[in-house]
Amino acid sequence: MPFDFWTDPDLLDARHRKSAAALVALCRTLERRRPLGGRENEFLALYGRIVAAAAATFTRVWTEPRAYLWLRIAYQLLAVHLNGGALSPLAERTRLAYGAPDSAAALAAHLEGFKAICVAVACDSGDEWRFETPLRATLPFTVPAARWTLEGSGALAVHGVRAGRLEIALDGVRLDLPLDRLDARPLPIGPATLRPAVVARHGGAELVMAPAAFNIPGLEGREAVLAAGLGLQAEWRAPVEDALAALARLVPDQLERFAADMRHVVVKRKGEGPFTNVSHSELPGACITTPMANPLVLADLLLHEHQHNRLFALEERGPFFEPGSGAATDRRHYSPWRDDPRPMQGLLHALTVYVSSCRLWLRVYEARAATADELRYAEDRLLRIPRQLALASAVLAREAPFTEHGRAVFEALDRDRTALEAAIARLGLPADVPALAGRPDGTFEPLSSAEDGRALSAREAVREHVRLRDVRGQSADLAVA
Amino acid sequence: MGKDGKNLQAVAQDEEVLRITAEIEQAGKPGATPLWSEEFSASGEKNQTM
Repeated sequence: MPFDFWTDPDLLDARHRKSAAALVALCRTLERRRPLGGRENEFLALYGRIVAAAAATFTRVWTEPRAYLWLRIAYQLLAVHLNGGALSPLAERTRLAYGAPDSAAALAAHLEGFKAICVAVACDSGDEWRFETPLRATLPFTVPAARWTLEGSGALAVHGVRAGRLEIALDGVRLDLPLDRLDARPLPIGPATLRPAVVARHGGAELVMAPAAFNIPGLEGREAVLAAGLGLQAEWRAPVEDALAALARLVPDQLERFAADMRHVVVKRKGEGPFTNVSHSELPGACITTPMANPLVLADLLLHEHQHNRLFALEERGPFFEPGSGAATDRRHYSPWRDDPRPMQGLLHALTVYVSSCRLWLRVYEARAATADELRYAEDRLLRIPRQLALASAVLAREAPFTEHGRAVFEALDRDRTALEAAIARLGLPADVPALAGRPDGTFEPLSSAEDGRALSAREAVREHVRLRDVRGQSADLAVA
Repeated sequence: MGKDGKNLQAVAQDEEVLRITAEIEQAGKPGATPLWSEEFSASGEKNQTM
């Protein structure tokens, strides 16, 4: 890469700096244009107080994934309201979730959501804040940077913070919660319970595992996360910590970046929601996963999602693909990891995360810091992933509408890929090994042919996937060794 | 935001604020350069194996 993508400490930070600048720009535009005929007044008054918040408090809150998402949606709703045009899929789902008939109503509803950021600042600083109209929310509820979550049912209204207490009403019943005991221990409150968030910690990483942090109107996969609840997070805290410990042993430099970048990981049950794992471009520092009990496989999964987050952040320096080329939406390209055709953006992400994954398994194999089953799995990974990377790289090289920046990123990634190929060639691995799949319970099982059910080797698995899934023949001129 | 943080009073002095303020007014119009790339979900398909 033109710089060290894998370790550059500034990638996510640059996103947060830009979003803070965009918040100031958004407010200046609202002040000057007053496009909502007065419905923006309370928001602007709250913004006036946020401006004066201490740097450390503001930074803690504003670098949270949900603060970033709030800003991006607010920017879109304002821009579309002022200039017309179409909302992005997530902004459109947000509008629908608000029940807003147009962008003005959606923007007014969204500005109300800024109160969650104000509550976060008030809880962090202890300063008094009162809202003209309360923040209304559904449970589970939390605010950015908080280590507590209000679980259960009931209609929540948050009135503000006064005298060291968070003032709320639940189903119309007023309650004052001491700020210094919000995350102390479970506290029943009528139909709800205030609970400490689950936090996985190792080697400087602190991952908040709180479904309430993903209770975001319009967010894809939200229902699966909320169904998992805090209970599932508590079950998976120790395995997540074991996975972080594995990263500390094997790739300590990567764990250092992971710890700086990632704030929230939430687990969901297998088969629930529209995907296994997801990182979203508008939620930096967060991911949703279907967890795996084997610590090395889970470490691989966490690293995988981290690299998605970093690649999104790298795109702040300029788009990877020519605007309007459909690189993020035109789903017709072969991906060696997916049964469905993918957009070019997805293929570039896959190339990035699997270069990272391949490096991890190379370290596992070199260090021999694994069980016999894990080493067999590592051998499969090291034979299969480079072949898949070569296929993806060829499709990107031939067909991607890269910008100059995108081309430089791709070429740097491809150099890393070929360096990995050379390193793996020096290992003296067997010519072929059984292909394996990790199971959620931590064991491994043979990967079966989709055609006749027989167990496949690593090489056969790649060839069969090309045969069955490359429907446009994008790999037709590539020999899959 | 930097390791030691920055509050919004400091952010408001950034030149980037002026650029983004101008871009809000132009967003979505023909010829305007988008401030951000298209949103994207990097997801594994529902039954994908590891």
